[in-house]
Amino acid sequence: MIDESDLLRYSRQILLKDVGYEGQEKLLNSRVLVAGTGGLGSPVLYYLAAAGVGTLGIVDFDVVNMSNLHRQILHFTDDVGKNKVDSAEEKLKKLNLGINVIKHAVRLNENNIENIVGQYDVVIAAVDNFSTRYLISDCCYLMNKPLVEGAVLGFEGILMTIIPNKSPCYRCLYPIPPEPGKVPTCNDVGIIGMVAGTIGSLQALEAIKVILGIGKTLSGRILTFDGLNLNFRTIDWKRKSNCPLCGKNQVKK
Amino acid sequence: MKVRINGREEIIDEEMTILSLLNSKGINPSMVVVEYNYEIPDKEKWDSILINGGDNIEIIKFIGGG
Repeated sequence: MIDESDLLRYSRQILLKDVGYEGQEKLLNSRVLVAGTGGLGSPVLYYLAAAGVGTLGIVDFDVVNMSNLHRQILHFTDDVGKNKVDSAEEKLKKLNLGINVIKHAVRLNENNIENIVGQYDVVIAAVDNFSTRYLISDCCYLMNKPLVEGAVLGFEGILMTIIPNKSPCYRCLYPIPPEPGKVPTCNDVGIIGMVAGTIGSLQALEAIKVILGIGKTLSGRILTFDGLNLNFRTIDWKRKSNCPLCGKNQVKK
Repeated sequence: MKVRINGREEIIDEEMTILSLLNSKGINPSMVVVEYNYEIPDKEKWDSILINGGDNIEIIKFIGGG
């Protein structure tokens, strides 16, 4: 049952025929894990909390740094030095007290990830490094969890929605991690906040589409975004028959 | 010959491989993946795949920031 104040809070999205009362109940009963509370994770968490996703898991081991603030919109100047999960929770609770926030103030690794991912229906990768992206992607595939994978750098972004055994997986695109140090990070070449906002908003949108089973998700397509020249493209792609993760002779376990 | 690269028609030289195409564009091969006619070939095959007229090529950067 959705109470009266929640009916008002969510009224404009309940009005949508693709959401409706039943869809809103689904959102309130859903559990989404957001790995990273930075440039991508901030808008993802904000929109999912606002939309009434009932349980949000947030993973981040880091503390808020002054150099985060131009893009990580859940964190304010006063939060510098605080744990990011605490700073994020504070804002999300101010926005919507009706949702549960579960904090995981840890660095994801091979030993803890299954236990964390296992508690959620959908996972959103909003982290800042490749090794964690591969860890999340492999774990989600093996645990059969839909994954919304987004990444940004400079003025560019990339987005894909991965449905295990249905769509191509992260390793179908990037079979092995890039050589360490070869591919620049946001710390090396910078990142413009609005691009993280754009890709993060789209990750949140993909997540609720997956939860509600509406529309056409990006699964089977890759979205690339060039913010400097304002160009969105979607590229069709297929599973890689010799993918090390989801291919016939998978080597990953 | 005409090929489609990242959605745009381009004229490239004959006898080009995926690797020589990247080199001709000044793209560092370790920073991208290539989708060739909707399949993602292994990197080791990039210097043996000869591009044909009408091929569809997508050069996708490694992006991992958040």
